[in-house]
Amino acid sequence: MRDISLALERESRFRLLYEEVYPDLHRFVQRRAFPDHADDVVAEAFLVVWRRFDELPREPDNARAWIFGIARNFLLNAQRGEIRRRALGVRLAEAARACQPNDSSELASGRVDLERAWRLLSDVHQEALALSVFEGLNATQASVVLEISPVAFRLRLSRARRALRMLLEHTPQARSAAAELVRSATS
Amino acid sequence: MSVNRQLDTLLETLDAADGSKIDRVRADADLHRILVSAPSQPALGQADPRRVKTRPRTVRRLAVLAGSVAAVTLGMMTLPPLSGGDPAFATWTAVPSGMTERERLAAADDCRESKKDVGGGMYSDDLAGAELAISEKRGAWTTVVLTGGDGFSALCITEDSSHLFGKSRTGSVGRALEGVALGPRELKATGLGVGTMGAGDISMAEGAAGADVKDVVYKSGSQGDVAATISKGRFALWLPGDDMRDYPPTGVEVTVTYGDGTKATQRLTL
Repeated sequence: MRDISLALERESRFRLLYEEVYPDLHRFVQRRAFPDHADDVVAEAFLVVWRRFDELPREPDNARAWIFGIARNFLLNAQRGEIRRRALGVRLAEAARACQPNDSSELASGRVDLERAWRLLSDVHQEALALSVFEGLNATQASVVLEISPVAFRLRLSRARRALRMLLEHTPQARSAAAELVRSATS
Repeated sequence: MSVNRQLDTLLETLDAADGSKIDRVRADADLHRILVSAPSQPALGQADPRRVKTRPRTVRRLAVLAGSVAAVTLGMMTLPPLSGGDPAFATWTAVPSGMTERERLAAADDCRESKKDVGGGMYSDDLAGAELAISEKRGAWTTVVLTGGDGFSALCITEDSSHLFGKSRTGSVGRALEGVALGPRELKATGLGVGTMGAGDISMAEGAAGADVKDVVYKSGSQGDVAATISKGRFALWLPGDDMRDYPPTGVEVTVTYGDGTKATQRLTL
C-alpha cells in the first residue's frame, strides 16, 4: 500500500504544480519561441519535470525558476542545424500593436525606440532583462534558470541595463521620451 | 522613479506573452499524456521500485499504455513526444520489412539510450547487456525489441523524420517474462493494447513466441491482416489506430502458423 499512496501522492503534487506553473511557463515560452510552438515546448518541459520530479526545489518560486530552466535548455537544445547558443533571445511585442487608444504620442514613440534598441541587445542581455522584468525573478531565482551564480546574474543584469540605456541614448533615430529620459539621466 | 524602473515599466507594455493564447483543453490533454507517458516512480531509496508492480490495475494502466493495456511488468512505460500530429502513419505497412546491419545497430543503440533513464536508471545494466531480438521497419517507423536475462525486454517503436523537438516514439521496458516457461507453440504477450503518441494512437502486441511459431497475423478491422515479425523467440506487431482498445477479457485473436505449416487461432492476453 505504501507504493500506491506514494504514487498517487506524487501524481497529486504534480497536478497541483502543473496547474500553478503552466500559465507562467507558457508565457515564458511565448516570449522565446515561435508562438505556434509554445504548447509543444511547454508539454515537453513538463514531461521532463515529471520524470525528474524528485529534483524539484521545495520552495515554490525556486521550483518555478527550475522549470523555466528546463524549458530554456529544451529550447537551446532544439536549435537544430545551428551552433548551440548559450542564451535565448527574447521577443517583444510589436510597438505598433502594443498601442492603446489613450496612449500619448510620446509613449507610442518611446515603445518604438525601445523595441528598436532591444533588437540591438545581445541575447545574453535580453535574457537577463526579461527574467527580471517579464518573469519577475529575483537574482537567486534567475540564476537558477541560467545556471549561474546570483552574483553573476546581478552583474549580467547590470550590464544589460547599461547596454540598453546606451543603445537608447545613441541610436540615431531615438528621439522619444524614453531616449530623452536616458539622455537626461546620463548627461 | 529611477530610469531603470521607468524603462522596466515601458518594457512591460511590450511583453510578447499573451495569456489568452493558453489553450486549457490542450493543457489538460497534455497533462494526461504526461502522466500516462511516465509512471510515478519514487526515487530509488524512497521505495523499492520492484514493488511498483503491485500497484492496482487503475494505476498500472497509467504506467503503461492507454486503453485496455495492463502492465504485467515493472516500470513499463510509453515515452510519447508531445509535438503534435504526424503524417508518418501514411507510410506504415501491414507487412514489415527488414533493416540493414547498420540500421539495426543504430536502432538498438537508440532504443538503449531512450530507455536508460527509466526508473532512475534501474534498467541501465540490463539495457547495456541486452541483445537485439527484433528489428523491423514499417514505412518510416522502426521497431526494436531488446532482450536479456531474467525475462528482461525493451520495446521501442520510433519515427524520427519529421519532428521538431525529437523523435516520435513509444515503447516499454521491464521484466515481463521473469520465470515464464513457454511451450514450443505458445505465445505470451508482454505488451498488448493501445498506446498514444503525438502521431496518434497505435495498437500493438508483442511478447515471447515458442520455437515452433513461424508466423503470427492479426486480422485488423481497420488495416486488414497485420503480420508480426518473429525472431529469436519474440514476436511484435503494431498498427495505427485503436483497434485493440478495450479488447475482450478473452484476449486478442491472432492466427499462428507453426513449423509444419499448420495454422491455429490463439488469443493474446496479459
